[in-house]
Amino acid sequence: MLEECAPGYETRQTVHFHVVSYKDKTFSTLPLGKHGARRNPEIEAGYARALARQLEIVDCAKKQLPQIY
Amino acid sequence: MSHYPLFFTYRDRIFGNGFLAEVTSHGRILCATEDDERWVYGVEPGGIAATGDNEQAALEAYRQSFTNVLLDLATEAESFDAFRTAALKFFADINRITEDDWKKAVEQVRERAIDLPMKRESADAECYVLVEQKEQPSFSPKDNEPASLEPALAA
Repeated sequence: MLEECAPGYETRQTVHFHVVSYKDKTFSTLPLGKHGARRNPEIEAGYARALARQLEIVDCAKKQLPQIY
Repeated sequence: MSHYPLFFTYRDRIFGNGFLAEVTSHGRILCATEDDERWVYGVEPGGIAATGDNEQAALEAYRQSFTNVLLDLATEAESFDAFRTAALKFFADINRITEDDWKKAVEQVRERAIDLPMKRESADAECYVLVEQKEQPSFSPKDNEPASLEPALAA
């Protein structure tokens, strides 16, 4: 979803979260994943919706992930 | 889907690389029930979301996530000034889309469509974050903060 909707996005892992930045917006609390940190953890729908709103990519996210809307 | 708008006031003491910072914040959150799940979405700051089995658990998860973001920023900051800059930037990053939902929910509170038994605060109140460096000689037991959530319904 991010590749399509937020080209050039940046991500980094902190002690507690995955942090995603796009343009001048940042979402700071994507979970690291159950049972320890993972690069691509399964993300609950609410986090994906909040991420899309914060990065202001909602219209594109709805097309990419219609199942969470 | 239901939404209600809250203010929060938190105080965090954060140890960083050679500094202790006190962060006092007054921000906005939107509590939501979506698909029978309880969520708390950050408005100001906007880069946080949290969930829980019930509303209280979701609020507690949000509170913990807020502190954890500050701890992460402190871990990455080489100095108090760098931490302060990062914390101010984090807080100022408003979620504009969730803010629109927050404002609509405020209107519902004002129209009495939402009414909750909690203290109220004008929705026009200013949000803020203060990031202060604490010096060792100034520490005292009165600096200890009791754990408290006590959100206020934005009205």
